[in-house]
Amino acid sequence: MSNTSSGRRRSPHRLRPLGLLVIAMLAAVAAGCDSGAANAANVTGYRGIVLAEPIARPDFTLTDTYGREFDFRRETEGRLTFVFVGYTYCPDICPIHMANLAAVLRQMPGIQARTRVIFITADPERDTPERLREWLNAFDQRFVGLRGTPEEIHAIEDALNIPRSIVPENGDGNYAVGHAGQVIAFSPDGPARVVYPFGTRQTDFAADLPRLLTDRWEDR
Amino acid sequence: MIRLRVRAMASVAALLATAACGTAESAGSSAITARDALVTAPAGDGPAAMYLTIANTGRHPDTLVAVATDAAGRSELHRQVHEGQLVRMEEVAEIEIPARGEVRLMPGGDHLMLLDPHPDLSPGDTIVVELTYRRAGTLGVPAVVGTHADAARMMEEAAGGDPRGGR
Repeated sequence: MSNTSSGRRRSPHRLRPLGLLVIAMLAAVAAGCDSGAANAANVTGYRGIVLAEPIARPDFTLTDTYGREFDFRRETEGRLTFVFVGYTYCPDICPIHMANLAAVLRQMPGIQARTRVIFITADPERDTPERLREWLNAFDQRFVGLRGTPEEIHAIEDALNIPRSIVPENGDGNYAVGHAGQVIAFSPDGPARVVYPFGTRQTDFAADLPRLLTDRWEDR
Repeated sequence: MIRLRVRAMASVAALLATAACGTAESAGSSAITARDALVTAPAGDGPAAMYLTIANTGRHPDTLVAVATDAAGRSELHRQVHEGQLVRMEEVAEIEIPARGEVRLMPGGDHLMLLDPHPDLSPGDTIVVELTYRRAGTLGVPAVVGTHADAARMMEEAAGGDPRGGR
């Protein structure tokens, strides 16, 4: 006999079918971001969302999955660096972003050599170094996993110009963490100009990767 | 006289039965069909997400109220709330399936969450998941276990082409 759903407290809300949520979300984000930004020559043709204001490469040090200090600026200097804040118990947004990046980079070994993917956990309590490493290895052993205190994570999210992640305090071991859904791409010369929301496909990353590496930007 | 009365009563009874039944909900002719179910094998341990399409050919909306499977300890209905850039996930009590319509549970949106999935769950496996609807009752659907890349592909196919149209 199957196990039945538990009698946990449930939301009383009746839900309408959300249909093609991904398209709606992408449209909303695209509409909300002003792409008439810094450099006309570079802005057109990106599959990702070009930011109106570039994000300066943040200055922070966290601990990686091997227990080593990871100075973000020093370790990623001169490299195209994808940064994402998520957690390993995330059902789709986090693993799908990681799976897509891993697949695309595997197809472009020359680009992979000049790229780093940094996954910062918003859930340091459950995402122990071992768990984070095991989870990332399922996508690519070269992906970097970083852990810190909630205060450190929030400070980094502020620097990345993304909303602070939310870890519920109800103590249930199966909690979900609220976090930003986009991958942030820091160009080799420093700032981030392009972000990739959930829904970004492998073909989108693949189309943008060479440009992210070689485009010259003239920020305002 | 008696024969007439019996016949009249039979007609009334038949009429009432038709009115009460509405759309066919007896076993073997449900208005609800579930298809294209995919379960993503979690990377490491952790919950498995399930996506599928549920179609309702009936005249009345129906409501998915519960999910259960032998392949997991406890299963829940979830939705994802997008507030600006922030994405939050939360359990919901039910998911409505509109009359003469369908609902697609997709990555990034509503989905089913299979908590404490069987540790041997691997891509290529097929499991049976029981979905309980308020009108249609409990119906089983086979679900294929796949990877997150499969889930990404399902999402892209549903979106049908480049949603941003390039630039």
